[in-house]
Amino acid sequence: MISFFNYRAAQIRWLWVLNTLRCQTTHKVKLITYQTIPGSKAGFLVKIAVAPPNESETFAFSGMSTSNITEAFNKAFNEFLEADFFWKLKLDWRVTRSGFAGGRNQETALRRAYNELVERDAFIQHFFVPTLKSIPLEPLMDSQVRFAKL
Amino acid sequence: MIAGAQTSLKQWIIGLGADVNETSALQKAHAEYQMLKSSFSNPQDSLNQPKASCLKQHMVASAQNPASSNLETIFNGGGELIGSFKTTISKTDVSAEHCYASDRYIVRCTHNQLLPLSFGEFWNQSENHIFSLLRERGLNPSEFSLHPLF
Repeated sequence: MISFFNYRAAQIRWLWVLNTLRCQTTHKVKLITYQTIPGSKAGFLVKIAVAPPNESETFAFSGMSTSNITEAFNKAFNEFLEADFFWKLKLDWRVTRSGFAGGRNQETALRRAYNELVERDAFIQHFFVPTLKSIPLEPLMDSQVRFAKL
Repeated sequence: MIAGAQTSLKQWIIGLGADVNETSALQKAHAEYQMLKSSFSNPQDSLNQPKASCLKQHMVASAQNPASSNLETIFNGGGELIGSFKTTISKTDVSAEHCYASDRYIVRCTHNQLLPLSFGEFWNQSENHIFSLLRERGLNPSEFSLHPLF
């Protein structure tokens, strides 16, 4: 649980981020949900979902950060733009958005896309070849969550 | 990195993360796991969209063997083979890109050496490609009937 004062501070921070983003793009978004989730090593997770103002909530996109609300909002906003780009390309949804990524410049977007392709490759590889060695890691605060290095 | 836990129904929720350092990759995997977990526990959330039913199917199937035992092996570090595959970001192709604003780039990337993730017919059609890539790495994959996200 977060205190009322922390929550108010986060709300004010979010409004600042939203206004900043509105100045940067013609895409208007609205806030669907906002919540902090205890349990990470950093102490909290911020989750934000955004959606186009004229769409229903079923088209919302989420962003989460272990560090700050700005990062969470930027992730949610990038997810939204990735989906918009995906629709522009008229791709079949079964193609998935693997390899789609956003960033403040092409280099950052490319790095994020590459990271996503690598993480999925690693998982598919270990899933089909379970004899491959993975390394279990110590649990964080939330003891139910297990971690492994692929 | 992979983060995951089983629900009370023994269904798996999994988050993946890759980055230039382990700490950051771990945080990404954890954040993705938390995002999925909170989305499934909150019907008003962002996963309440068309692909939610697909993800729910994956979760249900994850409780069954051999998917469940493969995941247990990954989290327990039960494998013995040491993977040797390496690649670089320089082999990533940007197949499409779009600039939404001066600092909002979205890219679509492909990497011919990495295992692609898709769904439905697209996944079935990719079987030969995925298995040949795994064999090029000197690995002997198990049967293809499963989807890595079930």
